[in-house]
Parts: sequence; structure tokens; C-alpha cells
Amino acid sequence: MSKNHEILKKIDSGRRSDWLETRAKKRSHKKARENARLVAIRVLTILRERNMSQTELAEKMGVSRQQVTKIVKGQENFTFETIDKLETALGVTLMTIAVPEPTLGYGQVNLQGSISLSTVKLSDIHACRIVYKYHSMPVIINVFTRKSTRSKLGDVFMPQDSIENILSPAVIQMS
Amino acid sequence: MEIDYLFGPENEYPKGLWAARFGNDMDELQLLEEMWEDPEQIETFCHNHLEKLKMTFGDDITVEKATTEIMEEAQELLELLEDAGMKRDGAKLQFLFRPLDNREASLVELQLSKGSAKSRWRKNPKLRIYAIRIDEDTYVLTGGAIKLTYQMEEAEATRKELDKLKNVKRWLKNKGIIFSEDLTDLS
Repeated sequence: MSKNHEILKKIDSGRRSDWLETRAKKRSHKKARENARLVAIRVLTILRERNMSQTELAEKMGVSRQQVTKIVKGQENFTFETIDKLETALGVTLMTIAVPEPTLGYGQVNLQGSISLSTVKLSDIHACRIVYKYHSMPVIINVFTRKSTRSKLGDVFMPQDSIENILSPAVIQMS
Repeated sequence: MEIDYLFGPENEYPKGLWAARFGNDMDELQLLEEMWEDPEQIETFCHNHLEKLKMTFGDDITVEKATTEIMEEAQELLELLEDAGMKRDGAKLQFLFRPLDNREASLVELQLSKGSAKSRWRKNPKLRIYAIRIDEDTYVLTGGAIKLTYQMEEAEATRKELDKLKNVKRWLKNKGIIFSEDLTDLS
């Protein structure tokens, strides 16, 4: 151990911080804390724009001044009821529910004809056509490829049922 | 003034992160975290420094956007500090902290140091934490600030932090902490 480390031990206050434990708790609620923070910043911005005090907001919401303090400090664990009161008092929407985008089957087809499936967001792909040969017979199907990447074998997107209809071995040619 | 041991890798005490405490119940890291996690304080700071923020964020920055960005950066920085202090995933405090003076190339004892959440995604971080390097992977944190000027002396908040750094360094020297080749002894 170095001399500086020896001295540090001697001048240690002896107090032990619980910072690490507190951080661990905070990390486990990271998303909720982030949302509470964003709401707090939005509310503070609106109050400033309208020259409205936190006391006035509390009166309009019908809650205590302490609860508004918790909201603007990003410490409020919101219930739907509180969000409703806040939205009504400020005349704004603070919470919206995101509707998931439709997805299509995502097929990776290689020259050996093996296929794996997953999904991809509709907005990330565009339609194109692939001609492939199945037992020497040409088959034309409409498929979808990822935007901004060049279509190539082994990386095509198509409705899931089309993928399932391709039988091994399939040779694919881009049309 | 006192110094509290915050945390470090298991069984490696006194290596790790320490923090100065200036007669308060809370050490400097706790005080810093309390400030950086308070939307009201950060929003007020951004409102009062909007012109300087425009110089660093760009003209289209608003108080709301700046507050959001700064608070996100604070979380990143606190997490980096935690990981480095615990040596998680190979992180080390001496990777996070750099010499305060950009002209200093080597790491030495009692070196005034700064840390930020600089990364590939965040080229121009606005937040700094300040510390004194005691030894390999051993630092005493003295505070932190939102830095919007090139020189620390140019703004009140960073000027105050520079004074704290110097005072803690002086205190540590008086307690016997030795330094060998500090090239820019500011005390």
C-alpha cells in the first residue's frame, strides 16, 4: 500500500456513504424517474410561460402545495388521477399512449433455402419483387426490402406466409 | 472539512472514490446529485444562462430542451462515476478523470482533475465533476458544475469549484499527502 493510501486511511472521517445503494435503487426505477423528470420540466416550462405560480397550480388542481413541489422536483410517482388533474389544470396533454406500428414477417433466405423468421417495422421497409426458381419453375413473389440498404440474397423481407411457402432448395434472383 | 470514503472495489479500501464534506451533513457528491436531479434548479439555471447556452447548444435551444439535455447528461455522468468507482466492465476512475489542465499529459499525485460524460455520442459535454487524484484509481471528489465557458474563472459556478479544488488540495497537503511532480501547482 502506498504512503498516500496509508495517510488516507488515517484522515478518513469514518462516515460511510449510502450513495451506491441509493443509486442502485434509482437505476431500478430509471424509466419512471425519467418520465417524472420530463413531466416536471414540461410543467415548469408552462408555469414560466404563463407566469403562474406553483401555489396557483396547486389550487387549480385541488391538491396541496407539497404535492406540486414533488411534481416539479420530479419526485412524484404519478397516478392516472394526478395526471388527469394536472392536464385539466394546465389545459394540456402530458401523456399519450403509443400505438405500435404494424410489422411484417422478416425472412432471411439463403441459397440453401433455409429460412429464419422475425418481424420488422413497416415504416423501415419498401416493397419489391423477387423471382426465384422452385424445381426449375419460375415463381414470382412480391417482397419487401429494408430501406436504405441494397437488396441482396439472404436479406429479404416478405409477408410471413410467403416465406413459409418457399420450399427448400430455392434459388432467388432479384427482379 | 472532512473526507468520506464513498465506494471502491471490494477489499481494495482505501482505493476508490472519496468525497470532501464542508461542514454539511451531505458530502459533495450527494449535494451535487441533489442539484443535478432537481428539475427546478436546472430549469432556473438554464433560464438565467440562456444566452450562454445558445453559444454552446446552438441558437434554436430552448430552456426546456437545455434542461432536459443537461439532466440526461447528469444521469449518464453519475452512472459512469458509479461504474468506474466499482471497476465494472473494466471501467476505472482514472479513465473517467483527466487532468484539469489540458496541457498536463501525465497522471500525478494531488493532481487537480475533471471528469465528464464525453463519448462518441456526446462530443461536447456540459457537465463536469472535479476531484483531486491521490493515487492510482483513488480520487477525492470536490464538486461539479455546468460548464458553459472555456475558462473556469469566467463563470461564478466554475470559479467556486476551482476554489474548492485548491482548498481541498491544500488541506490534503497539510494532512501529509505527498505529491512528486505536480507540474502546475495552483495552490
